[in-house]
Amino acid sequence: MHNRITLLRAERGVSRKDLAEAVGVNFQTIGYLERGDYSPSLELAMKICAFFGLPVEMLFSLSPFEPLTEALLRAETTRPTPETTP
Amino acid sequence: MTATLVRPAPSRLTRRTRRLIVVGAAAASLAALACVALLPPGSLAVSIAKLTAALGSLIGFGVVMTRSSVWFLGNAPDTALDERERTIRDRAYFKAYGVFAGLAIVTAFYMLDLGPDLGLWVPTNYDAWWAIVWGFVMLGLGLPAGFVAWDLPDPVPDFEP
Repeated sequence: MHNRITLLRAERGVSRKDLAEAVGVNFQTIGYLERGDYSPSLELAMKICAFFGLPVEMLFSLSPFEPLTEALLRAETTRPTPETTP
Repeated sequence: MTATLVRPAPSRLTRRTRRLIVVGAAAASLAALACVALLPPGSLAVSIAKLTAALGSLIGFGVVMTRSSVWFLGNAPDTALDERERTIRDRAYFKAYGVFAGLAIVTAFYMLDLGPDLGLWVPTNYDAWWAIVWGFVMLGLGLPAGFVAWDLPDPVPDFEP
């Protein structure tokens, strides 16, 4: 199971302890999740998603996530230009 | 209940170190049993071997368990553990039960049937019987924590990336 917890924590300035307390687990468990040593239950995954306010598919995936830079680049190149916008 | 229970600091030992300690403690216990079985009873060599092996086992399990999450994981109530910790603990107890039950069955068959039939060593004196009893006591108490120590991944560093 792949996830973007590290990225989101860094982006929002949330510590492992803060996240762990919010979702009711030991902070080591958050570390193991980030390291890929543990796959969360559906309940824990939903709690983490609720904490970040994001849908589950944005945080967890069975296949590796596309690197953020590539996703941004793709979004940039597919963005409609003012001429093509009706 | 979770808030009132003091959680020990996470184990600082790496998985490799913990596994070496578990293997060392198990080897010391087996060495004690072998000494009692093979050396003449009551001799100084048996006493020294038993003492050394007992100390080795106790120090080994002590290092793994003392002030570490290993002992906590094996003994804390459900409410004090999160889902990952409960999974590790349940898996450890499942494996420990299998090993303990398997050894008990094999030992019973060996001592009652196989050993005497084949003319192999069977416990006949007080020291030998007590060595076996203490072996099972140590196994019963130490196996779950031993499996937790074996399975627990390397600790997550405290610093925030």
